[in-house]
Amino acid sequence: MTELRFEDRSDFENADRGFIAKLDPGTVKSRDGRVVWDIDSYAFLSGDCPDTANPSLWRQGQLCARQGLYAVTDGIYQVPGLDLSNMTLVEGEQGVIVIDPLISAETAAAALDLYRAHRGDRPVTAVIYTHSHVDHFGGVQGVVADEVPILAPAGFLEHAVSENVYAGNAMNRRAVYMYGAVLDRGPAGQIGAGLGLTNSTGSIGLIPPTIDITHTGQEETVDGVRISFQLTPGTEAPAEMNLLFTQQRALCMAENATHNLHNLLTLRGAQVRDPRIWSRYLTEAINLFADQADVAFASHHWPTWGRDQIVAFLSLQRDLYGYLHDQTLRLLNAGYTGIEIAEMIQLPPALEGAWHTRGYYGSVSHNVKAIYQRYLGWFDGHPASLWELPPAESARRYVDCIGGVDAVVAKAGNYLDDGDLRFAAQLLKHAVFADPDHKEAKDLLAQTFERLGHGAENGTWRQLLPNGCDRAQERNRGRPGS
Amino acid sequence: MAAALTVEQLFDSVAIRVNGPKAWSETMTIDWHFTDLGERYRMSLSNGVLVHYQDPGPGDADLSFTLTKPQLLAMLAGGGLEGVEHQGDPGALQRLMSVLETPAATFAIVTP
Repeated sequence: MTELRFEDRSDFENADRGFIAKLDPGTVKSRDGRVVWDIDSYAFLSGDCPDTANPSLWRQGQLCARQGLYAVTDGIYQVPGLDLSNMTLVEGEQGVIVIDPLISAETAAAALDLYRAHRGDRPVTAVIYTHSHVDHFGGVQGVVADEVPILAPAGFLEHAVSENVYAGNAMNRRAVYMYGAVLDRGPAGQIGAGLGLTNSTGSIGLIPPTIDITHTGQEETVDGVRISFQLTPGTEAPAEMNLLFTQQRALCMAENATHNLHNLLTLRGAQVRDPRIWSRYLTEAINLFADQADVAFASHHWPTWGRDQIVAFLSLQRDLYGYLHDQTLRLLNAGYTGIEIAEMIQLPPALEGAWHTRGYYGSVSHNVKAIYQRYLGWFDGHPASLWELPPAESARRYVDCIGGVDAVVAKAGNYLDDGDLRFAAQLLKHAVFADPDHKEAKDLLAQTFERLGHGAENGTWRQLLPNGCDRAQERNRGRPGS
Repeated sequence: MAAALTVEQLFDSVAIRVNGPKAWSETMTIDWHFTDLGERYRMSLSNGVLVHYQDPGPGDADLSFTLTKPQLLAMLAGGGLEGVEHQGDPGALQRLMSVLETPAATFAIVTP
């Protein structure tokens, strides 16, 4: 296992670079006074990592807790830390272009106000949605008053509404677990989702695009700003695009290259994304844009400055998705199943040792299983898996074999004492499914989830595990994001 | 079936045979010029991943092939470099071949 280089502070330097001003206080309220965003509640992250958190995820939380207005380059500004995503502002001849207006109208308006307080009261002359996920368009009504051109990748509208519709109820329910919106923030609780801290909870809207970006190489001039596009359908979103601001020599990588391993299958449930095409579009982005960009930024996390640094960053991101794809296929063709490959796969030292390839949002484990699912589906090929009993029916019989729920709980306790948390969770799931009212079983399972969560490097794993305790199930505020 | 695949699909089918851990420390770049298709490709190995793309810019590949797609198919089927025009170090291809795996057609399913 490669050692993580905590002494390398370049991410912190880049996250702080160009800082202009904070939103103070770091809260955003709805018209009726409800708090829809509160980054001040994450102030505890400035402390040292406690025993109740994985140091690598704690570090990522610290980086994601940067908030305010930042200069990316001449005429381009970003506002991170006012929502799960970043809003980007590009100054034109008459006003300012907004890229990805966050999730809620309230947070988007707050980000625009912060920008205007320091750069003047420029009108919004256009909006660009980089892709079809809600954290990149939901707040548009907070930044647009009049009709302005809205640019988006072809297929945007269809995917923005369809991806979460047919299975929407289930996804919403599972998103509550994944995003931890109902968990308390704190050293033993929620410390960030990896991709950002969490989502805002204000009002979501959608104004349809007026200009479709239909092909790579398409160029548009918006408010005097020249933009060259690369269409990347089927990567992080079914409709997504990267864009180069040619005069500013600034490359926007949408959500195709961020400072984490992204999800190939989000834990809320979704259709599996295609790491092969994702990797291929990153190669294309390097070939198209690397010589024309002095800075690369995305709609999450912090920018990368310098041609060599951009190429190194994008190349490793490219290798990451390509490696997971190719190695999963190699191993499934050798007869291994997803659950086996997830344990077998080893990342090369360069991918293991870089910060931006760590599994803060996606994980190697669940992404490998997703790739297996993409190519071979739910069935692992074993005849005994073909017609399994449902969980409660299996549980009753397993518990019977072991000698009753009390015996299962006692065994699980032994595994827990030995540090085998994963198997303890498996055993206790049977106990709770066999007897949902067995308090001792439920308490021990909750304790197991909590310990697993505290060790997790992945933000969504950390959030999902303690949500497994009953106490979180009464409220329902999460929503699907990226 | 191989004959029906595009060059990119053929290169993909090579990429998924790379044994990642075995290939970690290898790097190489190979250029491919298909005279029958009028297409150029570059493949490079880094971090155990075989990346390939069309229309590469100038660069100094370890090895460059000028060939036809049928010649590529013959190469992938185990034929050597016979009759294939190449420049550079043929050892680069050998190094690539040495990290490729061919999966067994019969693997255990009912037993571990």
